[in-house]
Amino acid sequence: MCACFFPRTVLFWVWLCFLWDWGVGCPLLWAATPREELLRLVPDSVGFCVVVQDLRDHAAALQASPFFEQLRQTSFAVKVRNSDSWRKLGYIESKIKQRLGLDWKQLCDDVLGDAVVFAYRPGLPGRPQQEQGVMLLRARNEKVLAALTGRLNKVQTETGELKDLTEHRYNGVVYYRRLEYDKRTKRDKPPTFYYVHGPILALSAQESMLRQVIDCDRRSSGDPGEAAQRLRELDAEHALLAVWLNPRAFDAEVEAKAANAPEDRSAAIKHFARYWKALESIVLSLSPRERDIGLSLGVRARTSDVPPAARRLFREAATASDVWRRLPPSALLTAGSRLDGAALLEMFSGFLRPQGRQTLQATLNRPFAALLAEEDFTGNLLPALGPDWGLCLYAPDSGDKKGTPHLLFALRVQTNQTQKSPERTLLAALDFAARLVVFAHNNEHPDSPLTFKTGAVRGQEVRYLSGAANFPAGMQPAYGLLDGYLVLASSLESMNRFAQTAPLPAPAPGASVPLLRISFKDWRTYLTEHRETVVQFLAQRDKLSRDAFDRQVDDLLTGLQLVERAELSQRSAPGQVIFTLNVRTTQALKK
Amino acid sequence: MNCRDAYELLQQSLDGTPMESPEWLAHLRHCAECRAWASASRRLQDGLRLWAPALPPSDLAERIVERVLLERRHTRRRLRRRWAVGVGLAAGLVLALTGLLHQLTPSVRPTTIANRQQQLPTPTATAKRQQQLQGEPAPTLREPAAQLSGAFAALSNETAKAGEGLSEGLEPVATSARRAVDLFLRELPMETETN
Repeated sequence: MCACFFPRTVLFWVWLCFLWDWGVGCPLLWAATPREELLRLVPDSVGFCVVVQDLRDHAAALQASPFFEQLRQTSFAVKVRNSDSWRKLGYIESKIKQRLGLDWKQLCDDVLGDAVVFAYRPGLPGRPQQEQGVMLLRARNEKVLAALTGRLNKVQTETGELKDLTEHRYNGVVYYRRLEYDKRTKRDKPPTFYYVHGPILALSAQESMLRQVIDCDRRSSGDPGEAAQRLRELDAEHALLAVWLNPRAFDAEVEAKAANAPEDRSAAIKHFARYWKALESIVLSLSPRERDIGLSLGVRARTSDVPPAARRLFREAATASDVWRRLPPSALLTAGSRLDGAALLEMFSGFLRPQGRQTLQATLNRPFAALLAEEDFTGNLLPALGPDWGLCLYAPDSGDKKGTPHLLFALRVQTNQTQKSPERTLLAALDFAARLVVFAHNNEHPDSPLTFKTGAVRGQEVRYLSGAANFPAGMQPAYGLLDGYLVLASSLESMNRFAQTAPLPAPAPGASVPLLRISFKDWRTYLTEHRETVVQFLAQRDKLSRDAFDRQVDDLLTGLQLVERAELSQRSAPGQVIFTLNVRTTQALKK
Repeated sequence: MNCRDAYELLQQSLDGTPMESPEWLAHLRHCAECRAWASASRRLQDGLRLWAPALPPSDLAERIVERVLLERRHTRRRLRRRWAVGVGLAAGLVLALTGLLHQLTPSVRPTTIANRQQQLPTPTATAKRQQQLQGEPAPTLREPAAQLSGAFAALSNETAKAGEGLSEGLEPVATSARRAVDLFLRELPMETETN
């Protein structure tokens, strides 16, 4: 029995492997998406490639979403509906329907709904008119597309706009040349060429470009094309809108700029050209999801060609900053990252001329030399600052109706990077500045003096200014060294929070690293709870009526009700970085 | 008087300049076209007189005051911003000057007592030095301030040049993007209709 069972199992697996191999390898079973069908037709070496896909489903989902319903009821939406532009859109729709027999919905669903691609290749340096472009679209229904092109030709011929329509052949493939007549200028327009293959339409003003599209179509190998590959690398393959920038298409022009640059700008352009050569692709994409909209900018580069300072800067920024584990998760605004100050300065200096670099060093060193008693700020102190830094603005407790938001800035100070003790240098400078402020204030306002005090936060010494009459409610400027961070805060309470925040678990490697977070929900809560204080403060400050600010706050609250929060984050992988701005809406974007 | 002059006079009359010209009246007597123009202008003026003057909205004064106050607020904000920048620069200047003065002050190096004694000026040397100092102009803060201001200006100039260089490097991409949009719009069929 065993002898029979073994060969059968082997045969089963061999059969399964055969099926898998045939299924994956056979183009008949390989169901390419509309976007993939179009991207394989994009000729090589284009400069830009814009892809819009799945417009139909996204539009339908958005229209049926609770967010859209909420948006419709806002005063802004009412204004848009009553605007001239909106009426003009209605007029255009009626004209299109009258001439082509399609309204927006049909046009969006049957023609543009699957995928549309626009590719552009710039002209050679000094010959921009040699540019080439092609528009590709993949319709859901090829019959509708054929009817649409036929009807457009017929209508334009009848009105005299289409002067000539001729059939051409290239390698046995038929395409058409259209010659339109411009009634306004009473001249022929440059001819356009189009090619239809099933549900795919390619339209170009350059015959050679259209022929390249036909070549790509005829090859029909499994090659998805460079554009598709680049979009996939930078996670934009499923985006509603994606724009790919191919740096190689602009190399000649950037090099020409660098070669012919005037002396005073030559250093900057040459250094820029160095970065440009290292770039492999740039992708900008927009992806609406169930609860948020993501706007991403992805950059891919050959790491070995990137100048060392930039490599250091990006390597440092790729790691999640420890400061995020110390800042409160719920705040009006939070920002933080790992920034190598010395690398940033070196990277910036690269764009300057030699004398500019000297001036930068001298200009940075002079004021800091005076304040910090440190003659070489860039060499002796800058390496010790950071890389972690964080900024946080958070609302006072809900019970504190008169309180102002708390502000905190933290900067890591590394003690082992320089010969001298940087934390002592910084504290001495801050002490000097604080005493100077107290001295100047008390000299001018002897009736409400400030006091320079020393206290402790979790056993660590901090300094603060005391004098309640001189500050808004809840404010008490303070600074000190807390757990290796130089912390400057608007109140002692903020410093306590910073020191007491329970550290969160470190994010997994490769995960998104947050850079900036704005909580509109917290802003909404703060403005609602402290409305009276805010309006009164603004009205007193600007000596205007309360009504004006009441209206402004109302408008602001209406806008804030649409969004929950915005977060800018960064995701890095070897040779590439993707910055994403995620805007989370209050109501779902899909039903 | 010809028709053109008559028309000019009529225009001036409509603009508010009183017109009592016997030549013009004489011209009207034998020119039907100008007579028609004059009659039309009279009708226009009569019609305008009958038109009830427009009343300003009741809250106009309030809106103007609010707008003026808002404008004043923006101006104040701009001034405050300039102030802040000025104060910042001034603080930087003061600090830098302190640093410069600190650098100008001769540093005291550790020396042996014997050396110090050797270095101590003799009464004759001190008297000579005092005479020299009386002859020299007293040190002022103007020179270092001007130097520092010059350094900031030089840095700003260098940064601006680098910024221009960067813009120039990016220009091919920006120009191509603009041309790409133009090309895309040109290629759309029915472009004349939608416009």
